[in-house]
Amino acid sequence: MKEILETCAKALVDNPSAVNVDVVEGERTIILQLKVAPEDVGKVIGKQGRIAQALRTLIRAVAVKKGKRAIVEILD
Amino acid sequence: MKYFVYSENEEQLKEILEGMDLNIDEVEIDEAPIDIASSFGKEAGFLVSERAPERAARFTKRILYMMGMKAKVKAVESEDTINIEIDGEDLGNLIGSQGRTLEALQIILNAVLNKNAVQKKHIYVDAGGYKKRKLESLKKVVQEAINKAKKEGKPVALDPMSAYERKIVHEIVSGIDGVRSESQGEEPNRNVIVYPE
Repeated sequence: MKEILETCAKALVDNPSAVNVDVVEGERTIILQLKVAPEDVGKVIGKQGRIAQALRTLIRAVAVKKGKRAIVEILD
Repeated sequence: MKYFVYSENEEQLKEILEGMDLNIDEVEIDEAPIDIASSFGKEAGFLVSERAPERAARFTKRILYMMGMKAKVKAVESEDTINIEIDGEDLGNLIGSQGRTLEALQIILNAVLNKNAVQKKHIYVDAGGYKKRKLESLKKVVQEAINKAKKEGKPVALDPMSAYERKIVHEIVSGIDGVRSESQGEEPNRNVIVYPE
């Protein structure tokens, strides 16, 4: 999951080296915290949050297979 | 496809290309003409040309592999679209309820593959012919609604649909005499009504 989020984020931003994903794993829930350069935040969120929503949907689909609930947080 | 890449030196250019999942050895790099650079709000930069279908297929495969899927990916480029067809096992999870996960993948691929593109292309993603079948059944439903509206002279309400599906419905209905269509209600319950004329 971390890898997918990182790969997609790096492909979306102008500063790929500033992309970082921290994972906080609980028993049932896994929280992925995505950090990007301040000027790239809009690129991973998208118009009306479309891209952020799509990233969440994709990550959730992977988490479900592992019987987990995934939360994607975008930090700036 | 051609991409505009702004970078101050080769080191930075290489890093940006890696992020875009492009290999510096497989692309053509030229200095960007001033008019293209200025359309991206920069004074100078590089114009990177690559084979769009290969990159689309490669990036899609990479994501699917990370999702733990064994899948075949075929990408075909036409004038304004790149069609990506995914085939393999366990497509249900990738498609998701009402095709929502597939739609999410399409949104991400559109953003990734069109980032900094000089001329954007629409990325269309299907898995196991899911969207194709859905489109066929949608056409059938609309045809039945049109027939009913004409026959009974009364409006016929269709089930709630996505914006994309509603657009298709409007296109079909507008091509037929004696009926018209309108959307009503709020997302996610917004639906189309077919009116007789």
